[in-house]
Amino acid sequence: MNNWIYGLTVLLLTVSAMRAQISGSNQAVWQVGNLPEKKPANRSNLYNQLNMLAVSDAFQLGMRAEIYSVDDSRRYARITQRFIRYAQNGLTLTAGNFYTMLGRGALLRGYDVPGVVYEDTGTRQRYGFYKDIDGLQLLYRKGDWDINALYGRPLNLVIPPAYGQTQRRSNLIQGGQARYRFNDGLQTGLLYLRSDAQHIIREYGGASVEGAGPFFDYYAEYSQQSGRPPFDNNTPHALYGALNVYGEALALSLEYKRYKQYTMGFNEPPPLVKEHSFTLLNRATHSIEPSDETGYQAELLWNIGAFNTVTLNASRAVNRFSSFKAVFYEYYADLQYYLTDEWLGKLFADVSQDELVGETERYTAGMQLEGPLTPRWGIVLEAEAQRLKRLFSSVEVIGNQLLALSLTSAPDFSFTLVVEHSNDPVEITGNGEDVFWPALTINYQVDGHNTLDLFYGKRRGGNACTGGICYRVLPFEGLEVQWSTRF
Amino acid sequence: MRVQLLSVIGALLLASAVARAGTIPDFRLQDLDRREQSFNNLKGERFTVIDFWATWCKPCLRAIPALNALQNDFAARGIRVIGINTDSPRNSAKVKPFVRINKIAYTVLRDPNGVVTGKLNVKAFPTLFIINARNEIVYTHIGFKSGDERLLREKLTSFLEAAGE
Repeated sequence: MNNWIYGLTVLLLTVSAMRAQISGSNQAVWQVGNLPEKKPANRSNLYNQLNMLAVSDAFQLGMRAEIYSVDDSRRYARITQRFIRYAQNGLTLTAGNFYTMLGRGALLRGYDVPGVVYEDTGTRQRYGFYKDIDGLQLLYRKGDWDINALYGRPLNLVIPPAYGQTQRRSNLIQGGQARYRFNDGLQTGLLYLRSDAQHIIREYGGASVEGAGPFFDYYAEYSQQSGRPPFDNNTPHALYGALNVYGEALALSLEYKRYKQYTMGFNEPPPLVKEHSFTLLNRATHSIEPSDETGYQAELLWNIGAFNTVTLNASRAVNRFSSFKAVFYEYYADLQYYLTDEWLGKLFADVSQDELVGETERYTAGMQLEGPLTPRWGIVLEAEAQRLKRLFSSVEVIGNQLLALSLTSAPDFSFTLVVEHSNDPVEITGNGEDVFWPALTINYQVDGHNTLDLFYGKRRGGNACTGGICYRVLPFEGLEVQWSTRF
Repeated sequence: MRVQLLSVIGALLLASAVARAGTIPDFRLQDLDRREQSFNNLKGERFTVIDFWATWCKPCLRAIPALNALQNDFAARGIRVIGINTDSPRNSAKVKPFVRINKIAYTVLRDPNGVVTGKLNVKAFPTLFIINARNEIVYTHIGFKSGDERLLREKLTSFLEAAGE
C-alpha cells in the first residue's frame, strides 16, 4: 500500500498543481549540547520535520518527513506520514495516516502534540511526538448519525522512526463507533475495537450516552473486553462519567474514572487529573496506571467579575496492586485577577501527594504578574516554590523553586530569564547539596510565516504535559535554536 | 526510500511554486452543543478572526478577554471572532463551563482530534488568523502578550479601511 500511496501522491500533486492549494510547515531544531555532565558536552544534532498538505476540491494529500542528523549511527531520514483523503457531503475517506478517537479516548485516542520533539535516554534519537494510525478510515456524518470506522496500525511512539514501520506499528486494530442523536438531551453511541497484537486477538465493546440541558451537560462511557462479566475486577474495562453544571457565575465540573486491566498496548486512557500551566505543578503530574486506577476530579470555576476567576480543583486516584494501595490526591486553588484593565495577577496554592512515586506532603505555591511597561513593551514575572517529602530520600524535605522574568515586545519579541533550583538528591551529581538550572530563552516572530526560538543554558528534565499528553523531557545543557515556518 | 522522499518533496515544491496558497477551504466542526457548524456559515461579512486555543495554555487565556472585546466592538463592522478549542479528553469536560462563566461572546468550536488544527498547520497555541471575505489569510499571529490587543485592533481597522470602509 505504501508504494501505491507514494505514487498516487506524486502523480496527483504534479497533475493538479495548477488547481491545488499547497500549504505546509517546517520545524528545524538544532542543538549543541548534551545531557548535563554527559560527554561530549558539545554534541551537535539537527531535527527537521516537514509537513505538506495539498487540497484540491474534495481531495487532500498530506505527508510528513522527519530527518535527524547527528554525528553517529542514530541518524535517519524517513517519510513518517502520508495520506490521501476524500471529503464530500458528510463522507470522509482516508487512506494512510490519520488521527482519531473513539468516545472520550479510553479505548482509542490518537494525538499530535505540535512543536514537541521527543527523545529518551535509551535511543537518544529525536522525533515528533504523535500517535497516529496507518490504515483506512471512514467517517460519515449525516443528520443525526455519526459513524467512524477504522482499520490500521497504531504507532508505538517509544520506538523511533529509524527502527522502521514494522517495529513501530506491530499492532493491528479495527473497529469503530456509531453515534445517534435523539435530541439535545440524549445522544447514544456504540463502540467496538478488535486488536491483533502478534496474533493475540482481543475484542472490546462499549457504549456511551451524553446530553445537555439549559444548565448542565453529561457524558458517560463504558467499554470492556468482550466475553467477560461487566464491571468485574478481573474484566479489563474502563468507566468514565462527567457532569457539568453551570450558572451565571459558577460552574462545577465532575468527572469519575475507573480503569481495570486496561493496559492494552496501543492506547492509554486519559488521566483525568488537572493539567497545570505552572511549571512545578505540570512537572509533578500524576502518571496514570491503567492496570488499576479509580478516581475522580471536581473543579469549581467562579467568575467574580469580568474575567476575574477563582478555580478550585480536587482530584484523587487510587491504584491497587494485590495488597499494595497507592493514593494520589491533589487540592488546588487559584485566583486570576485583573488589577487594572491591563495588569493581570495570578496566585495559586496546591497540596498533593502521589504514593505511586513515593511523594508525600507536597506543597506548592506561586504567583504570576503580567502587564505593560509601555504601549509596546510588557513584563511577566513568575515565582513558584515547592516542598515535598519522598520515601527513602536522603534529604528529609526536598525543595524546588522557579523564578522567571520575561520582557515582551508586541507583537513579535520576548526575552525570558529562568532560574530553577532544587536540593533533590535525584538531580544532584557530584558532592553538591543543591543544583541550579539557569536559562535564557528568546522568541522572535520574524513575520506571519517564520518564528525563531533560542534556548541557552540548562534545562531541567522530568515529566511534562502538553495538550493533555504527558511525556518525559530529557535534561539538557547547551544551545538550542528552533526555526518554525508556515507556508 | 530516499527516491520516494525526494520525489514527493520535489512534486510538492513544484506544486507549491505554482499553486495559490494562503486561503482556507471551508471546514466543519462541532460547537459546544455538539452541533456541526460550517466555517463559511459562521464567518464575518468582511473579516474573521480565528483563534486556536486550549484551557491549559496560559497565553491563550490571556487573549480571550481581548478577543471578547474585539467581538463586541467590531461585530457591527462585519468582523466575527471564532475560537477553535483544541483540548483533548483530559480537559474537554472543562471547556464548556469555562466558556459559560466567562461569558465568551463569540462562537467556540471544538477540534479535539486536531483535524482543522493540522489542516491549517497550526503548531503553537494560541495561533490567530485574520481571514478576509475570500477566505484568504491576511494576518497570522502566534502567542499573546501585553500590547497585542492594541495591535490587533489597529490591524483590523487598517484592513477595514483598505477594504473600503
